Amino acid sequence: MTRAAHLIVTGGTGYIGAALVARALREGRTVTLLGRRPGPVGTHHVTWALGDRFPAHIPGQQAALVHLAHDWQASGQDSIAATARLFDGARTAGIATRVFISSQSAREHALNRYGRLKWATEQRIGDATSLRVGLVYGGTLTAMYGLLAKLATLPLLPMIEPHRTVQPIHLDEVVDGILAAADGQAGGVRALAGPQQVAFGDVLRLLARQYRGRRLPIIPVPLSLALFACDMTARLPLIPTVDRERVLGLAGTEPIDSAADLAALGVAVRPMGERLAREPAGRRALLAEGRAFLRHAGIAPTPALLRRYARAWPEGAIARPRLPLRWCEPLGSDTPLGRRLRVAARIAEASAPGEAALAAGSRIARLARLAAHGAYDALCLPLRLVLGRA
Amino acid sequence: MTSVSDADVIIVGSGPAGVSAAWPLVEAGVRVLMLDAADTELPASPTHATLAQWRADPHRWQAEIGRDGALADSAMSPKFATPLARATLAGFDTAAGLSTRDYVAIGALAAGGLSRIWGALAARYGAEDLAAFPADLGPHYDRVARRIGVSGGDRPDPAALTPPAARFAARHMARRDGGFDLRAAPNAVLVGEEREGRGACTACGLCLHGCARGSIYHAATELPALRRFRHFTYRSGMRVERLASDAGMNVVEARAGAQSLRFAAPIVVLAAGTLMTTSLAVRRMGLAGRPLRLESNPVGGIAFLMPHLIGRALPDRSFGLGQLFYTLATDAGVEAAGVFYGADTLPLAAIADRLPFTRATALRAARALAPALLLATGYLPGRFSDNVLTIEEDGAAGRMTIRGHQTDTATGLLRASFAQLTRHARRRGAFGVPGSLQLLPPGADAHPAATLPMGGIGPAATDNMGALTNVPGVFVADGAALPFLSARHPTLTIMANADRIAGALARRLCSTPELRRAG
Repeated sequence: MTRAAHLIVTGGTGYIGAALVARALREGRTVTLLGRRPGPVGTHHVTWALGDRFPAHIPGQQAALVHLAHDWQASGQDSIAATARLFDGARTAGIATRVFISSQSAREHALNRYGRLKWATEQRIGDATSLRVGLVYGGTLTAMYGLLAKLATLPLLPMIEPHRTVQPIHLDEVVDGILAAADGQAGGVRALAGPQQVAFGDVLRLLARQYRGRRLPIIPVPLSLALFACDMTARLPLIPTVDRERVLGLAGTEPIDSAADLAALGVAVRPMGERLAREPAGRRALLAEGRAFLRHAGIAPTPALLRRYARAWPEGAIARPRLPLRWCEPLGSDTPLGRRLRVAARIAEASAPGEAALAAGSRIARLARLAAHGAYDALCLPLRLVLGRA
Repeated sequence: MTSVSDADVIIVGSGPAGVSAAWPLVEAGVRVLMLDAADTELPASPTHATLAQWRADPHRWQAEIGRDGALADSAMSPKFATPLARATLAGFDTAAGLSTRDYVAIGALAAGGLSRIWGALAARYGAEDLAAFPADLGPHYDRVARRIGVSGGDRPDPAALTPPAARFAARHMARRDGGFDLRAAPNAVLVGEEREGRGACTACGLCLHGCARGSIYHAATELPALRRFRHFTYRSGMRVERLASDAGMNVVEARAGAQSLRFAAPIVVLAAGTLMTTSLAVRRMGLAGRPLRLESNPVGGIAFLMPHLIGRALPDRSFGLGQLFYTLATDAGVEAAGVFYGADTLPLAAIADRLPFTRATALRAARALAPALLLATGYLPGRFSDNVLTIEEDGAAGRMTIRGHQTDTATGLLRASFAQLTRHARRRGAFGVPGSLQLLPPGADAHPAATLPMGGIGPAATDNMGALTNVPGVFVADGAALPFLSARHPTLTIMANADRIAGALARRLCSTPELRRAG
């Protein structure tokens, strides 16, 4: 096992590629990008396109090839041949570790063409490493992750077989795995997917909750109907086209047992909920929640108080009601909303603005304010009895 | 491995029982080695002069909700939801190999044990309970009370109480109804006197967070005085895992970090707290796997309101521990006991969280109610508890399982005693707050006891000296050896009993000619 001091990357400007390159540079590795466009500062660029030979003059010592590029337009046979040509060339150039980024859907008889193609390519790259990547999330809101985050903002989501499971893995964890493979830590075909099966509908619900602080109602749609709808979008003008291939890719994923491969690669995969809370969008949603709840507790939220609130919830935001909180605060503390409002009240109380607000005025004035608040509360009570149960 | 004698007596634990057992031995010149599991310093207590200063401190949140926010979502009693309490209780479950069902197990590894966060209530058992006790505790109560400094215990003086308690006590003294006895709470708090390392109470009201002045007694306050004796050795960071014997000596196997140590002495006194002591003793007796009866006090709490105090400003100074101590002869002929507290030193959340208003209203209401509330606890004797403790062998430190159960009888009695208390309180101007009665799960009283009762029948027992059945030289000096739990808080009784056992032990050792007396 030798550390790949030099990474040769195709598709290095894509969703996974950009994160991989940035990390490699941070770790002090040198990076050569093979592609049409140059990459970020600090990388070496060699103009190359899928189908070209492996470029000459690239030193092969302590180098590893990571092949992420994928041409959605190319025909199957062309694509497979292009990858095989790249890997043959890399081997001839003396590059010992060659990593092919495959997919969890890679199977000989996969439903989707992508899966079949990835499988067929794996058969043509000899002793190179193949990483079958699960559903990747985190980082910049692009690729499949960007699409899912966008879908999670819909008021209502029709979804094909929401109970079908996926194996989410964070972008950083994928990069961990690719670098471990590039360093030769584990060879052969390896699953780089989360160890846990998560219902695909739950992934979207999680995104809606943790990025938007809201619930996502999902309407299950049969696959046949979805494919028909895809065909319709292609024919109708003015509405965006939904790719049939993407739909099949989601529907066709089979569970894989990734625990052993993750251990071999030394990748620790944290639960998705925990990681989403630390993504910028997750953090924003939690702070927005804190702002709403602290205001409800009767104080103007300051950044320091919001940070205090956020620290109490490493698991991120919850779905909060769209209606005024005074109408729907639960009576008890046995729901997540009830608990969090109580925590907001504790934070409000143990703060300078809270102390000032509570202590202000004479005994009569304080009691009068309390009576006014109490009267409004009494009016809201019937609403709370209904809305607070959810 | 041969064991050398490290002392005449090894005491396991530095809590109230351990310290109380140490004094008679050390004073008699016996060489004592005290092993204490504590390996970390506890967080410092706030040093604000008044409650008003505390409330105005913008950094107060660090103590009330925790730097990491961990205390923000605490459903625990405010007594256990402070950084001090968390640090005191930390690590016990793991060290004890504890698993529980329907039972709240509370234990401490800290120096001074659970007394670091106790309510400091130093009550004596009642006459009836003392008559059933297998030995005379009278002189030992006196000795311990003198040592730790106990105030109160007599007729309440309204001038020394906070407004709701003062009013309650004044109206009580104007009445005469049998069966309800009310006194100034006998607290192990220094009032109007100072002692080495401990100042007099200034009524700063920050009791909940630990007393920075040391006015509230805890066992670790006595360690410096003990350590001045050359024949007293104190070793902290020693987690005692197992007892053994070797060539007529008792051996204590301890772990300090990754290191294993063995200490040997002719006599071992167990004072590690009821649960830990039981684990060590039961495994030494070869009784692992046998279910043991574990007593705890069925316990609940209730809030009373004194309407004329509603809306008053929160006081600058107050007192956060028990102010009045009551005993109640219930209609069922059982004695119940408990303590009245004020609510003006508590975080408002303790009140606001229970109010069904929306949060802004609840905070305001809590602020208005806090000066007008009297909170009362109520305890029943331990014989109404129904818990089972099982110790099992597992690795060096063993494993313990507790199954808690509150019988319908206990629940009924507890409800009845609170109903009776509410009637007495109403005649004293304090009105029970509807819905405020809370019956706590078994173990939440933090008084586990009587697993190895003195004079008990069966193999898992001790004799009147606390000596373990069939294991020569091993004595139990803490709550495990109590023959029963009275309704009254057991700490002072545990300390008096430890003092008694150690005193007798000291006399026996000093009459043994081969014992090398410390110079």
